[in-house]
Amino acid sequence: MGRIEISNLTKRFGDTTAVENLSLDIPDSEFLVLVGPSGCGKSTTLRMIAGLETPTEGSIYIGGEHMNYRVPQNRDIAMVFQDYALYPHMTVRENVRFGLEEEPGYTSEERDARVEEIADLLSISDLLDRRPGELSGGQQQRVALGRAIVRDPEVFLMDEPLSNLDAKLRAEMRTELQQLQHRFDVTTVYVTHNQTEAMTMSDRIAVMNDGTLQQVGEPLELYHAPANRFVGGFIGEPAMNFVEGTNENGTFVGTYIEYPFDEPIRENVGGVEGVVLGVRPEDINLRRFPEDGSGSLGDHEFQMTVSVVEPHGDQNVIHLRHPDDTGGDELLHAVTSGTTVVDAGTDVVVSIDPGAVHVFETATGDALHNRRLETELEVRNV
Amino acid sequence: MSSLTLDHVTKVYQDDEEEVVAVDDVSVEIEDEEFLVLVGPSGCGKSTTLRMIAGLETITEGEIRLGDRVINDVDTQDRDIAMVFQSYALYPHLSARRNISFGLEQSTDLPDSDIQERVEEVASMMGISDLLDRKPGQLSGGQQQRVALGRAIVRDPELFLMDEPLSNLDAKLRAEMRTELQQLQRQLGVTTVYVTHDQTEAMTMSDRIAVIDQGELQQVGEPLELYHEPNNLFVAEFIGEPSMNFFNGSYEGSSFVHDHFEYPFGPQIDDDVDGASDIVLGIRPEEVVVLDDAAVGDDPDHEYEMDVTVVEPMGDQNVVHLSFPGTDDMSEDMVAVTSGLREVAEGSRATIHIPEDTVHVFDNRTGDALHDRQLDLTAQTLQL
Repeated sequence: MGRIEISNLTKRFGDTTAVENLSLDIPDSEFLVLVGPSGCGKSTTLRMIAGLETPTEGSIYIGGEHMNYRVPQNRDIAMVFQDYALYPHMTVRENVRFGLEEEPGYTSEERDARVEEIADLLSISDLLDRRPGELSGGQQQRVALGRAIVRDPEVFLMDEPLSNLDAKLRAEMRTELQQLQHRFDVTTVYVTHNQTEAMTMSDRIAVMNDGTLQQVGEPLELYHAPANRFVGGFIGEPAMNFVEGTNENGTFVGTYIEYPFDEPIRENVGGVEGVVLGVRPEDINLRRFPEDGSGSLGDHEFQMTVSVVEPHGDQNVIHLRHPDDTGGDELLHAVTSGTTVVDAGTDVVVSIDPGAVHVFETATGDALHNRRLETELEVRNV
Repeated sequence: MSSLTLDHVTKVYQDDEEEVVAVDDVSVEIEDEEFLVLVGPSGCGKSTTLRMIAGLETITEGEIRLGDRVINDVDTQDRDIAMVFQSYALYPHLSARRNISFGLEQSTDLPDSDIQERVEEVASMMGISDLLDRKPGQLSGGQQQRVALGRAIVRDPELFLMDEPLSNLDAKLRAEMRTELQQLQRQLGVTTVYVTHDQTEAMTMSDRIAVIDQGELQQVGEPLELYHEPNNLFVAEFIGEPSMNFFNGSYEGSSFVHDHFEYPFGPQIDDDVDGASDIVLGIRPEEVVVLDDAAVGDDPDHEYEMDVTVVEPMGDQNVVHLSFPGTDDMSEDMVAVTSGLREVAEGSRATIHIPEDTVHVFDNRTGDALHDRQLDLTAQTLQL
């Protein structure tokens, strides 16, 4: 079966280390997304699994067999790339059949039957006699997938297959790819720089940065319990807010705000001095600052000014700056519901519940404390 | 500073024997200091419109006025406009400083010292003062875009024209630059026409949006007006991400009738829809309610059992794909957005509520909106 085990994998190009000491165990039929910014080593990792690059150190096993010295065509893998690379002069049938060309042990009738079977699974049976130029982007992707799956590989490797599509089609194809992967039940490693694809499609996500693995986990695990500041900032859109400061006897002190930690946070942060406060935009609550300036602010509340409002329709992104900050730099951004509107220039009270706060160590970036959740998730399970 | 008026502007291309109408009778008034976004799918005529404003294309019919001045026959360099493109088109062998000052050196007889002063001022506004002596190749994409913007700003034009200036940047940087551009435009107060195919840019940056499709203006309005009160099916589908859900059906005896469900209308919708037969029911994903058990039965006429086919967790929210029981498991009938802390299991059956005050109804033949969701966009209830 298609279990992939990667142990202590390193790839160096001259003096540059592209991938460093990466270990990852991908169970059979899992959809794993490798995500990170460009140059993080994700594509190099995929190419080593495919056999297109040789590891400098470490081992790769597929289905328990050692792969390091095997050529790509003997690894029982199929790859789908960003450009579908369909042959324009061939029909869909010929393109899909081409995937079987190098496979021994099929009679011509068996090849034809296999193509029909795959076309049926992909709902492209009625397109078999068309050429790629006559197909929509989504249909072309199905054909590319068909050509890959027709050989019945143990492992699917995909490198940014959706990045050439426009936003709406990409959202559709995300769902479709995910459903097809479930249907075929083939272990899949999918590389992307797009955190939304990672969140929405994967069983688990592996986040990479600078050649090293930052964290592996289920999408919501990474979202709510990031291992470090990089993961906290990379996963989630709009991004998590970070405010740098120091921990002074259990109170966060930044340039403009002070935020007293509650007991559970204090325990986790301990005596660490340089800390970064993290809070997701949707966890910031806003109310109008009383016009007459009356009313006192709570421990976890601040007066701020709305600098920019970005309406999205379903929600609004509200950019906030501190009144004492004359430079106009943004301190926080918050998300409100689409029907809650506020004008730029409005003074607001910002409140941040201690239950939603993350704290990272400035020096290492490591998470010292992650937000609390459990109870809410339990009761709201449908 | 100036307003910009497009008055029945049409552009026809002669393609062999055939006439192609790229822009069809577009009229829109852009106020002084306004940020107007022209948005639509590729080939809709938005870039042609921008190019006519810039003087890069002739106008077949109609008039374009900058302030009171008709500019149809004014040369590009005499229109007092500055353009920013998708490709930054910086001179690779010139420093950022020279790239910014170049236009001024060519078009004015300002003394060097004045030009340098102006460049420094703009660079400080753009936060690129310490990059001025680098060449474009030594700058990141975002920095190059700032230099390109600086080059446009330094000329202090009456009008900015921007053609997809952010589309070469990655998602995070694009989101940052969106805010930055918007703030900069406010600060400078220069009337701006901005072309994009990206509805998020249109929604988040503009004072008003003009939606174009097939050469024709579909609707002009403030972002939330287009979102909540679309004129027609095209605007309703184009604006908003994920897209509005649409159901094709018929209007029969005060109800919307679809292959898989019936949706009875109250008197107000009934009034608005009266006379139509083929209609489309529309509802935004965030208005579709996945009911908690306790809430099932509160509005039984508008509740439906559906199967959860795919759940896309985004963290802050979940996109839930739903299909009517008994349909193919690859089919998708509706998309709902639920809060991020609400877990909905794939493969489960859920009761869905479509609240009556959130539905839109369109005429399927003309595409026109017959009824929009009920929401008073000026109401205090919308305010924080």
